[in-house]
Amino acid sequence: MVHVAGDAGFSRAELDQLYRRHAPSVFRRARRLLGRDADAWDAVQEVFQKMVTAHQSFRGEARPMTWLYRITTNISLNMLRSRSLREPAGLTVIDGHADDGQEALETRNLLQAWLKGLTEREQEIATLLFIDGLTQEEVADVLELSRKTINREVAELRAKAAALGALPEGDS
Amino acid sequence: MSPHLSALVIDELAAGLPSADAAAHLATCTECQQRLAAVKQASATISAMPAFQQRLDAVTLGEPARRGPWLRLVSIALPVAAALALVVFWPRGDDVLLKGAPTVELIANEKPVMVAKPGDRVTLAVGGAGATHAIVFGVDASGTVTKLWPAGGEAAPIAPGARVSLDVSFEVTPGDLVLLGFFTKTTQPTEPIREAIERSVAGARAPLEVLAPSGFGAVARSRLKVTP
Ligand SMILES: [Zn+2]
Repeated sequence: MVHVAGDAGFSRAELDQLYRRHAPSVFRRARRLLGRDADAWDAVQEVFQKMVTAHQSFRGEARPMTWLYRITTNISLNMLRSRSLREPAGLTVIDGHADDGQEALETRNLLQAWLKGLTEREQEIATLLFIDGLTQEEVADVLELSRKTINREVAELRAKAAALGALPEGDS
Repeated sequence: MSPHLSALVIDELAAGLPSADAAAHLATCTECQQRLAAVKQASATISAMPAFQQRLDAVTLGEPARRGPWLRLVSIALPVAAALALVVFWPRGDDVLLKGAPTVELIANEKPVMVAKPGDRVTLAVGGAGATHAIVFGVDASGTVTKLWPAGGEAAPIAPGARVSLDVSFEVTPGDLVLLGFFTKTTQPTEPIREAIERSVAGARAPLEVLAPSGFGAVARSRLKVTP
């Protein structure tokens, strides 16, 4: 085997290790957003494919979990956007939701409202903050925003989501 | 008491990543201990799902460089529409298997494809001739060596039969190609074979005249002509 120093991509063994460590949490988060196992696995595959092609950005990350949150959110929201084009409201496929309760229903309703009424950046912030339950500081780290920017963006987002009737209950 | 651990920190702990600030809180908070245990439990369940390994196998390393411009993987078990010349080599001195020679073919409409045009869809099929494991590589006119099957880094099991579909479909792109199949009765790693093929390509008069290197089991070779 030839070993290339520096800019080498992942070996199969490295990818295996990263996948075993991180794929379960990527799947859980994608499943929560996408609602269906098959779609969540599509997202998992896409996240790890991205990790391979963007290995420098992943390896350069001081906190790998923030990279995973950022990419998983991005890919899942993209999938939701293209799904809402394929499946007009009212025709949402409901298979694979058998074990979903009230919380999952509320998540889907929130996401649907956000996809219609918020910018893509606001959708990302709202997802990380309200659905994943990250702190404002963590959202800033994940999206690589300054503390000052995130404070302003979250304030605007809350006002906008409230006006849409899509601010999660119990949030203040 | 400090605020509860965030979902991100719980994920880090469940993944075995260091999270120094979390230790003190976790030691004294049963609620966060329970959340962490629940996430670990869910991770174990997810890791045991069949899709877990399948999706890992589907992630490709080092593309697009390793995936030739001549054959593009499209998806699993698509309907197909196209035809390929087939030459089987049975080198002396290799692990001799029973039941004649193994084969590697591209298939469309349940027939071997000898000539195809860009855009055609073909599936990969092998006949193991008594072997239980296979690996298939492709070589294009530029000498690029691409593993076509399996997705993982080891020879994968094949079903017995003269023409067993490998459940992988390709879209033909411009340029002829050669398929090389390697057949054994045990598994073996794919990378040493790739390296041997690359040496073999370097020694061939032209890349498409490459012969399958010996020492990796019985071999089959076939060639696809792609017309404009
Ligand atoms: Zn706690």
